[in-house]
Amino acid sequence: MSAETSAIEADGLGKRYGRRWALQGCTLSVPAGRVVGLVGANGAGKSTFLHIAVGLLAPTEGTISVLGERPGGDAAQLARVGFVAQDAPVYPWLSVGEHLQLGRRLNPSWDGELARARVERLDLDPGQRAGRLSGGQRSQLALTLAMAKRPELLILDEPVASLDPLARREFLQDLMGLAADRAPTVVLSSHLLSDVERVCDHLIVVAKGRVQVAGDVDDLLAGHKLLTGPRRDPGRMPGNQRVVQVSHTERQTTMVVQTTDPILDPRWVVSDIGLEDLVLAYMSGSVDGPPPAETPALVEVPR
Amino acid sequence: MTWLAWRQFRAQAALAAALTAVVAAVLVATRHHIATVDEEDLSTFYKSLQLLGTGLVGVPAFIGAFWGAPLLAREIEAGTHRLVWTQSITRRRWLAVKLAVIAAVTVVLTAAFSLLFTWWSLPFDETGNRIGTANFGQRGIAPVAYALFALALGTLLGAVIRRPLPAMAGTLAGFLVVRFSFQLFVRPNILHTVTANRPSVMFGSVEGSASTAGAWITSGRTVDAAGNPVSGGSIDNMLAEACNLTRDSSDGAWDACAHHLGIHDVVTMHPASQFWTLQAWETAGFLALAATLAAATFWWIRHRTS
Repeated sequence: MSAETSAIEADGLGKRYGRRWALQGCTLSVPAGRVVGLVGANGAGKSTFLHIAVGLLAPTEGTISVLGERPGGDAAQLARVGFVAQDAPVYPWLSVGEHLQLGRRLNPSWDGELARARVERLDLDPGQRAGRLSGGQRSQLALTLAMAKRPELLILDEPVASLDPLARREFLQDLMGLAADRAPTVVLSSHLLSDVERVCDHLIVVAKGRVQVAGDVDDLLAGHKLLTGPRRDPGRMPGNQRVVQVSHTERQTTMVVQTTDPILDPRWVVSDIGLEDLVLAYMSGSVDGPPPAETPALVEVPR
Repeated sequence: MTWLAWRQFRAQAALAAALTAVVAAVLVATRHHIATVDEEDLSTFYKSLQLLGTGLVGVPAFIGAFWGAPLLAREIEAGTHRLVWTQSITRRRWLAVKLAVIAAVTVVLTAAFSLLFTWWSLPFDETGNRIGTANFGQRGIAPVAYALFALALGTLLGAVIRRPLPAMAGTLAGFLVVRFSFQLFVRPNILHTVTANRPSVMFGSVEGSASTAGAWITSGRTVDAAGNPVSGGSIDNMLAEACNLTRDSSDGAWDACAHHLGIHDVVTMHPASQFWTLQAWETAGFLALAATLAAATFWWIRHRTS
């Protein structure tokens, strides 16, 4: 994937706090113009990566380029990236209207019409103090701020984690409308696949501070198979088949395998895999090993 | 950005301005009385108003704790720095504007307080001493520099500690330690001292002399005509013998005898005339500290904060 079509390019990115690595050896590419889901368990390094991508954090090692530039380097670069942090922080003592004023004054590319229309449609009272908004309303306000600055890249860190199911659905629908309308690149993280699978067409799965797998949803589904058969050792698999996860019962072995070639071994019952099972297989990461050579460059190469 | 900085700060600024106005009104209303009535005849109320000067120690400490420490710590604690630092403005500019707005209010209010109090205290200072010890830091322009230093200290501690309450406590403690360490260990060594002779004050009837009036006396000893130090016990015997004095002789007689024998005090001091020069140095010192801490804060939020 070339730099022109990437919104984010990270190479060997790592962040260490004291002796603990929050993120390590992260090499990935976020394709431009897509809605990208960053999925991983809590503490997997998602927030760390996103904070580096918006310039809030400086990496300990490795390089990252966002829209072709160093993240957060100057005001012009900051203007190109919209960000909603986890829990959608807003100033509790500022009213909704004052938040829009904040956005207008701090962003030269501010789209006041968009902001006003959104606030109206969401039924937010401009005179209401942000501290008295519900969690869902607060998220919507924060998203409005991030959208109305008209970013080329919109980054949302766990945008729905604190919302109830109804607010969650509304928020995601809203986000899909935005993505269709304005077509910025959107990256959203979640610890639950179900939050993002309906809106994302590209997935990056992180676990233990590393990228486990990344790719378009369709490619991921086409490139993985669920194999069921008599119990056997997964070590004896052909070289073009990478075992992602193995589980055994007394007589049966079930494996998630990454391969684009047909499975020829007649002892296996081969079936398609659902996205949920696929992501869970990577998140649980029961098999650690280098990916096969033909894996797309999106996949992290352990150092 | 100025809008946001002012919007965040205006309530505190208004409260501080109101308090300053109250103090100013009290000072202006009472000044005529203390300037026309002898100090001995002033009522306790008027004398106790001098304690307002301790406000010039307390105000900088509070500015550091309540304006400086939360500046970054409260944003970081609430996570709102992630909101404001991802708008189209660098965090360096954000901090510069925030500090500028708060520093401007700090300078105006502390300068008004301190200069008014300096003027108000003139009747006391004519007979008293404003260059020495505590009074020095409650007069002139130094309190403005203390306040800016405290503000910078609080801001840096807030950035490093990241939680408002510990940062506030640290700022209070740190400010007072630096402020009084400076007073004890640095201020006496900034300007050269002056050595002067004056009649011995050992016996109570002499109250210094014009050359030492209002001075900050850092050390003094009593010597005889030849310049040899004499101590309390031997001096009494010496005088009693030389002038036939007894225990019943008056203070005046003892002093006259000491004068006759050439016994006098040699004092090392900062004369009252050094007041404004010393103020300028003290101010420069604390402004330099403030600038250093502010620079450290800019470095810190660029490299260390998320």
